[in-house]
Amino acid sequence: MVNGAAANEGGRAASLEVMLAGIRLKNPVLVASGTFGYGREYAGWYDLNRLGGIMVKGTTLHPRQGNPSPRLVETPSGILNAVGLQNPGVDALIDGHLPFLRRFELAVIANIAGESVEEYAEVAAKLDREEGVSALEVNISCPNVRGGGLAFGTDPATAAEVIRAVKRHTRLPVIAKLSPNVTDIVAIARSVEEAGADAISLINTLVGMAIDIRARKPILGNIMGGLSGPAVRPVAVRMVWQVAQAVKVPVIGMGGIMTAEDALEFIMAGATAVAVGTANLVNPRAALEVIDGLGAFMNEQGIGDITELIGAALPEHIGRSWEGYDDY
Amino acid sequence: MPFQCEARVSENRPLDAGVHLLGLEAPEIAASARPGQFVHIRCSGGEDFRDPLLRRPISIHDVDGAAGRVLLMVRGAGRGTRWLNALAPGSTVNLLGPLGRGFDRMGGSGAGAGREDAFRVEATRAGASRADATGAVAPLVFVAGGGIGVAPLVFLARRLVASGSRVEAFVGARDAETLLGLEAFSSLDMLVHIATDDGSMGYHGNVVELMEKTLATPGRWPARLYACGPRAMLGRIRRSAALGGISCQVSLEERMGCGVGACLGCACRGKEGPLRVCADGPVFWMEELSW
Repeated sequence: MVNGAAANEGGRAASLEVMLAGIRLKNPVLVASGTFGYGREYAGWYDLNRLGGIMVKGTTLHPRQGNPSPRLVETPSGILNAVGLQNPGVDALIDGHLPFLRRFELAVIANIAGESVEEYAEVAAKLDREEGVSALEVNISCPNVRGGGLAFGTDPATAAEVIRAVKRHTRLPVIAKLSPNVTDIVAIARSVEEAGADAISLINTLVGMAIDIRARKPILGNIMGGLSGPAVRPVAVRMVWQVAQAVKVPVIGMGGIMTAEDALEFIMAGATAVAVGTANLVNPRAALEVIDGLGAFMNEQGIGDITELIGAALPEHIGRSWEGYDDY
Repeated sequence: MPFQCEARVSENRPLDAGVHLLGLEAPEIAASARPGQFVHIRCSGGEDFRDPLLRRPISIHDVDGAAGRVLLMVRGAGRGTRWLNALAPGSTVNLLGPLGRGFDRMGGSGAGAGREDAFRVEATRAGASRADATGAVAPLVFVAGGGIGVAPLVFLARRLVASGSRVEAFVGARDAETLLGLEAFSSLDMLVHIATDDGSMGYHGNVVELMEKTLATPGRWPARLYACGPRAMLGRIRRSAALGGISCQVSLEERMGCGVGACLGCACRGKEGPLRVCADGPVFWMEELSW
């Protein structure tokens, strides 16, 4: 088996290649921001060239120390994290990590965050000049940073303002990473599309909390954290399905993907690409297994091109609209 | 370079107080592990692989290189560790390892010469080492463990003894029932000092207090101190080591995500910013930490 292709039964290779906002991905499997560092930590476990792309750790203008520990707590089929965007700042990404990532043939998507619209714009401008960055993923959804992140992603107008500012400072495709912590995900998605987003990532983590009943206090140092892992997958699949039929730009689906079967749910819900996140923490080879599993599924189903499966479960294919199903 | 493997459980022996000794067949890990490193264990299997989700980091208690076995001392504290302790011999478990930075058994921390008079006023300086019959110097090393913190110190002591150090162990626990590692340390032909909080065995009181008393004895000044245990114990070790100018390494415990340095979930406070317990540690020079 070679990159992006799986041997089909008739000897014809099943194509896993997809186009995402003008970026050619050899397969639709990315690794989600914050779960894969800058790739170095996993380069020893397998050939990173196998990946469709990497979404690097969230980067801010200045270095951030992150939140006090504990930063992580396991919950049923999931984890709550409150890392708090610890990162060495955009200059360290450019000087320290991009040269390493340029050695690989994969999409490098820089995830950017800020505490003000201007800060997002400045980080975008700095990365725009750098070789080896395929796109910017704009994190307007981090639940663990006060005065930033999530605050930008829960209001359609503010979300659009951030996206417009970033668009003005870069020629790179801009991906808006949305928060699920909203009443109407479709309204936010439409708003960022209108502001010029070239793609939409769904979902960031769900805000949650856990309490140590013996100590009678919250477990996380930051009190609240973001829930990820298999526990959130149904929420993520639903949001991808809703947004994919409401916007024209491609959707990147993420939220609890552990296996190829999980990834296929997102693809059939309308995701053009998927990202493996929390699963990387559990199994360093998780993304690789998802890629191999997609090829195996296509062979089993006799499908030659993965794009045939994108949106297969959307209303136009299943003959049922969503209207009438939103009260429950 | 760490490995991922399905290890067969060769042995599962319950010790006291909910602690089990697990033997796992993992030849690559057994051959390459260094004291202080850990294995990251998947605590779920089959159809239930999504829950509990995260691996559990368990320090390597000892290795049997010839048999290709890794020994773990596991306290059944939560869902994951209780699942591990219920594994039947012959079953398999998914391991990543060896991970993390282990104890540095050579080199120097820059802590400088010991200030023995901090603990001892009248004694003549006996030095951190004594000469053996051939004139070679056998350095004296202390290992101090509290509760389950004893686990990584057995592997360390074995390697230290093998490389010619004189090792003394300080083992503390709540009571005689919960003391760990005595058998293993004794088999290494070394001096073992025991302290229990309730006085049911050995010194009645804190293990660091006992160590401080020993430091006041002539000729018992260690060239190096290694410690693992509850944070309060390590805090006191820190004060003793700093006061006496003893070069000291501690192994920390923290909730972990990936175990390989990517997720930043297990940060601890370092002098120059956050450190990753999984990848920058779990063993740190005392001077690297800020607490």
